[in-house]
Amino acid sequence: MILLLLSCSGALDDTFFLRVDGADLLIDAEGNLESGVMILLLHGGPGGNSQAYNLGTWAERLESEAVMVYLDQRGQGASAGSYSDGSVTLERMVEDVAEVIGALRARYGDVELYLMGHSWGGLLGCAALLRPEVREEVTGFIEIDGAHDVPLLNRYAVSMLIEQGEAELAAGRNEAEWSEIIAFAEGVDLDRLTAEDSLRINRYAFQAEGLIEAITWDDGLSLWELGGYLLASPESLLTAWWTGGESNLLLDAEIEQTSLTGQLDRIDVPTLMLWGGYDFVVPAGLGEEALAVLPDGELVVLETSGHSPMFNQPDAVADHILSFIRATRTTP
Amino acid sequence: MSAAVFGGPKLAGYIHPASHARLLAQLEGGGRLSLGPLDVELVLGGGGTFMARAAPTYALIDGELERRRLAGQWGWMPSAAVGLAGPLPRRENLRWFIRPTMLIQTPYNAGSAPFAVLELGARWRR
Repeated sequence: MILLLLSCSGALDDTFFLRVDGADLLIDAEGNLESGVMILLLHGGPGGNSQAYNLGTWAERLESEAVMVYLDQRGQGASAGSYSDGSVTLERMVEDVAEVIGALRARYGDVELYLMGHSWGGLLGCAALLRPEVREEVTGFIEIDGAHDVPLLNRYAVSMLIEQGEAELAAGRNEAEWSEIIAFAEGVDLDRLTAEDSLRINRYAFQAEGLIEAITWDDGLSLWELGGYLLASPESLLTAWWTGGESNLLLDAEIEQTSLTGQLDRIDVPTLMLWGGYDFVVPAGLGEEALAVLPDGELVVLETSGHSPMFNQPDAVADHILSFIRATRTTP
Repeated sequence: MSAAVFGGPKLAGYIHPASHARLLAQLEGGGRLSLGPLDVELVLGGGGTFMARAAPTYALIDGELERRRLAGQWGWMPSAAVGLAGPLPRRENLRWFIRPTMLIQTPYNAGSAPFAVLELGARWRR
């Protein structure tokens, strides 16, 4: 079967759905299967989709030296099915990740499997790795701006909005916008944080990131490639946006209370954390606290990145990930 | 200029090459305003649908992947559209139509989901 999936160049391009508890999950595996390495990507959100990551320099570079497995999580992207509201929980989604790992083993055999999570996907990845049966299957974990502790990230986000905002005001940049952001952040009562506060922190955090001129962008992201994503991706974007929003609403109350920092000492697989220095949404302070707890962790802060370093500093992200894989893989 | 109402059964389908294919059976009805040879139509419909996947579906059973034939999603599908219709040459009782249409599939995941399509077709008109 595997030979049938390989082209002459050894490149794999294999798309299928996995039926799990009422949901058909989209799995799109692309890259170099001869490398013997697979990276299972858990996208952000909740409410995102995997194909938004299958773009630009970072995807091209990682797919040249590993297989990237783009998974649309339950209720998101092109994944579809029919199930009750009660099936959209963190625990159910962790079960989905375990099932997907089992499917990858069944389809591709004994490859070195890395788990990678961005933002909400970082929370999901950490939650999955708290299970011993998942840790046994995974060689390493790559967390990119991972939201594994939402109450803590709100605290860091508020502090960062104020500190960076004051620095920007002192430099005379975007004074009206930063004044509004600082006024909001100073008014947040962190001891009585509501879901509405959390939502507004998130919105102001994205606004703040948009004001930072030092953030760089991938030169390899072409309009042609973005057009291909809009027109030819397996996701129907209107449908993905709608159903992703529903999933976000269903998960929101649970993840707002989810704090995994105190349990990260159980994740004993090698862990690389990549963080944007200008990430106001999930600030790097979260990574620093995780570093103190993880048994085998490494943190790299990328100086000209925001919440999505894979599109801000794609070569640096790819370099760090590939170096991490070379250093930690157990087979040559 | 004249106005009329119409209705009847509809069978439709489409293929999104990278995503899914759909079959749709509906009863639809609406109103039309005739302006010379062209009609402006408002159409509402409801019926059943099957959405098939553009890629195979498997289930993991005892560590092995088993193919699920005819995998996809059944559901109910109301629709709403505004469009234009006109006469087909040499086909007196057939009218072409073109309609931007909003479809809603339910159930879909834990709720419902919209699909936007452009309908092209022909329908019987007495």
